[in-house]
Amino acid sequence: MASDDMKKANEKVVRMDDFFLDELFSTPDQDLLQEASEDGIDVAAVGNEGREAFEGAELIVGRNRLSVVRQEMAKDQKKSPNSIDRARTQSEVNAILARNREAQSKLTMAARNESGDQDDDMDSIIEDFAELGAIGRGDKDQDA
Amino acid sequence: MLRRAAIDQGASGEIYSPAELRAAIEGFSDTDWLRVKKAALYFSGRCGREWQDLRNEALLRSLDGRRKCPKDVPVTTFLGNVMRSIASEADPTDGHLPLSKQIETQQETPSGLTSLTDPSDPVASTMDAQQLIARAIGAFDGDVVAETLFEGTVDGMEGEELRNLLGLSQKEFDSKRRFVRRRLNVQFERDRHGKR
Repeated sequence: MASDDMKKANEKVVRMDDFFLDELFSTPDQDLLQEASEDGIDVAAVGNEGREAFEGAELIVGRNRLSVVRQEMAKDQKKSPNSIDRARTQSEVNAILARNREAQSKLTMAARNESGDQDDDMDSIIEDFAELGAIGRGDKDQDA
Repeated sequence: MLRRAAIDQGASGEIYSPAELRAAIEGFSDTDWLRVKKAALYFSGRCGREWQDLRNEALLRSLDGRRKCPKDVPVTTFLGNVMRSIASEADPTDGHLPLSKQIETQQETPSGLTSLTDPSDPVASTMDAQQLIARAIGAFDGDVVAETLFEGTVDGMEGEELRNLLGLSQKEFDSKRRFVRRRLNVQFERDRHGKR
């Protein structure tokens, strides 16, 4: 019973809203302007306020889009070497180091001064080399 | 009613791109903005939002693509219906619960509207719906023709049937419909200022 009453009451409101919108949006401009004049409404001011609201909304939408782009860029930059095909890239790094004894010596000294373990050092080296383009990332996803 | 049905179905299936919608809104005349304001005033009273907030939210959701406007629907009408839909979501001031997930899903249809064939709650409770109708009838100050026209409309009577019942010419009938809409606007704007 209560559910029936609820349905009927809601249907009435839906029809009232339909009626209201149909009437409002089908009223000719001339009649609407006459009505506004009788009600003391400054139609030009209403128009200006609407346009300001539109510009404000555009600004917010633009900012939100920029924020999404920034977040995606930050996500790309944080791309972890864990997602890299480590065995393949490490082998490429080793090959480069083997060809360049001086670089190998510097890297070994640098590694000694770091408190992190060797794996961490190698991750960092792989990421640096990948960013420099000296080696391919060899992403597992891309290879799949 | 026909317009609403067309909106629900998204008749041609084509929708405005965000850029097209932006250009259409940018081209609104003063009277277009006046219609948008009147619709915002009408719906704001029932959802506890200021009318500007309701209008701005509708603009945001339209411009960022969350609500999609069918190409065969006037953009002003579309915005009016977006505000109607937002007003049905929740009343942040009096603790009404947000509507169900189902309604959220319905609002993501191409028109961004709920379906007439499966109407969602336009307000949060039966009491609210009954109070809204009672307040609307109170707007006519005992004008029996206006009251009958309104009650016949919300009971689902068709225009021609109602016009014959009231014994009005087409011109008189159109004029009375306009009077009823105008009174509803005034009444719900009054409610907004002296909200329960």
